[in-house]
Amino acid sequence: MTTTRGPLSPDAVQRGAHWLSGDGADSDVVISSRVRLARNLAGFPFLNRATPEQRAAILTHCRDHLMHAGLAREILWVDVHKLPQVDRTLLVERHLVSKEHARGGSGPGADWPRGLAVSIPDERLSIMINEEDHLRLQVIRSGLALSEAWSQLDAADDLAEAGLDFAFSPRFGYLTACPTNVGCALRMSVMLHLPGLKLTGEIDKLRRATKELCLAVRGYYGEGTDAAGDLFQVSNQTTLGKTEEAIRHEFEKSILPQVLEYERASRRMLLEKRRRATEDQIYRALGAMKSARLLAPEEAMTQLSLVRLGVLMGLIRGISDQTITQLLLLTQPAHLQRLLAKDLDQQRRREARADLVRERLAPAN
Amino acid sequence: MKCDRCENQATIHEVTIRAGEKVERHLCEACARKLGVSVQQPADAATPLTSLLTQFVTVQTSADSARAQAMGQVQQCPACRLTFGSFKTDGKLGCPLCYRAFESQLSSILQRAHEGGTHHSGKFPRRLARISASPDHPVSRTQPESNADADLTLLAEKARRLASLRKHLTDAVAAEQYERAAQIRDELKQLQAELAAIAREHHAQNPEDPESSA
Repeated sequence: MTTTRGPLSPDAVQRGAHWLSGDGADSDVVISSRVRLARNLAGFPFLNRATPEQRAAILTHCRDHLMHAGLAREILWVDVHKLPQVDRTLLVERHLVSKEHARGGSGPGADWPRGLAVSIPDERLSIMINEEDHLRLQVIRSGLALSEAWSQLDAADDLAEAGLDFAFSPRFGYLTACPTNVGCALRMSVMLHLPGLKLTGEIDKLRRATKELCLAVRGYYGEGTDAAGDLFQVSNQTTLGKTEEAIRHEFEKSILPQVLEYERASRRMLLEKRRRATEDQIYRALGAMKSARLLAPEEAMTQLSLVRLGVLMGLIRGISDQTITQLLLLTQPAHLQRLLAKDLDQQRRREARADLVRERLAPAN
Repeated sequence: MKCDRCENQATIHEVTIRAGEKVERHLCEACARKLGVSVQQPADAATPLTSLLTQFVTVQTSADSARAQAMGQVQQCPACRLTFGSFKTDGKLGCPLCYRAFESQLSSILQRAHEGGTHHSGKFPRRLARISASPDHPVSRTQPESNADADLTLLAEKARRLASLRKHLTDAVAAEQYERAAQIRDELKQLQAELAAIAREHHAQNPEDPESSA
């Protein structure tokens, strides 16, 4: 049966996202692991050359199969193009769709039919239909869990493929609208919390090193966004000529252990050699968050990052680091509005953000 | 430092990671151009890959367009009518068949964008979707013939084995088990030869296959 519902339940919004639960490995540094595959249907042009009828046909064809493919116990279907803007933004904040997929207003392609299939309640598996490619399948998990995420995604891809003909060439692999994705069409990324490297000024060295390794370093919301809250996404850039396993192996065995150690060493150094200055920054951040009456999103991200560092260093007690990672999500504009179940202008959002942060950080000392 | 290929001063230093190993090349500008190495300033880390790709495309095609015409390279996809010029502008192809239509132009672009990668070596779909053009339908597909299907399944299995061997080789090298690494390397060579033979046979049997020269 095809389920068509509105977006997520108030419960789910309140709970935050599973990938921010902090229950994965190495969660002191790795916030989440994400893998995604790009797929296109054979027999249809890519979306930029498709007619409105073809776009509608692709969406229907994919939905009819995906809702019956046994991808998860329960799959929620969302017609993204029909959602109010606040709900589209909510999905972006939860990393279930890209900004591009959530586009609205009167811009080009705002009314193109676009879908989202997402496993609930865990929201680990999500599939965007009619983004840049016909399908973008994604698995996102908490902490460092690239192997588990890839296994789940690989299985979901097989189930999707059982009823959909994917465009494939033995030479070029899975064919994608943009040739930078062709081949295994796999993007693997981890979101890292690197306040230690930021405070010690080593972050630029990391950027240079990862660039040499042909990895991309981006901000919290992907390409072209700032690294708000000292959160960085590192992902592979090349997809042709490498197996999925090789990409994962390179990430997990060669790159991440070094980055993790680099960040942890910075944190130790801050405590051992610059303790007073570090404590000053962290306790000031906590003080600001526990007292603020108006809070802009950038300030919340910046200060909450320092508070999280304080918790992980054992300087701040009474709250868990998960409380703070969830706050990074819940203080985003659409989440605030859905939490309070009303539309809020910018001023009211600043008030609501400050209230929420004060309430959740009350036990911290 | 001298250029790897001549006596001139090397001004282009290229570092790539291939199969986990660092490969360095030091070239003078003239040799770099001959080898098709981009001599532009490195792009900023934040530059989206698409714009990098567009740069590659622009640099290459401006120099090569006359030759492309002379060599009879296709400038428009017969299925979706996308022109190669339009691809150069926004970096996106129009349909799966564009890969076939623009194959000769795309090969070198893909090689640059993917650190030297030229051929897919990952997952194969279980149920292979094959593409072909027909004059009366913008984009049509054909079901794989059983022979070709069997060949490709065999290829897929061997490709998987190849992937797993490569991983074992990296592990063995990392663990400094060089004897084992040498054994795996020999096995890899054997498997690669088998794969090449299967591919040749497949192409010989399926001359009309749109992928036969791929």
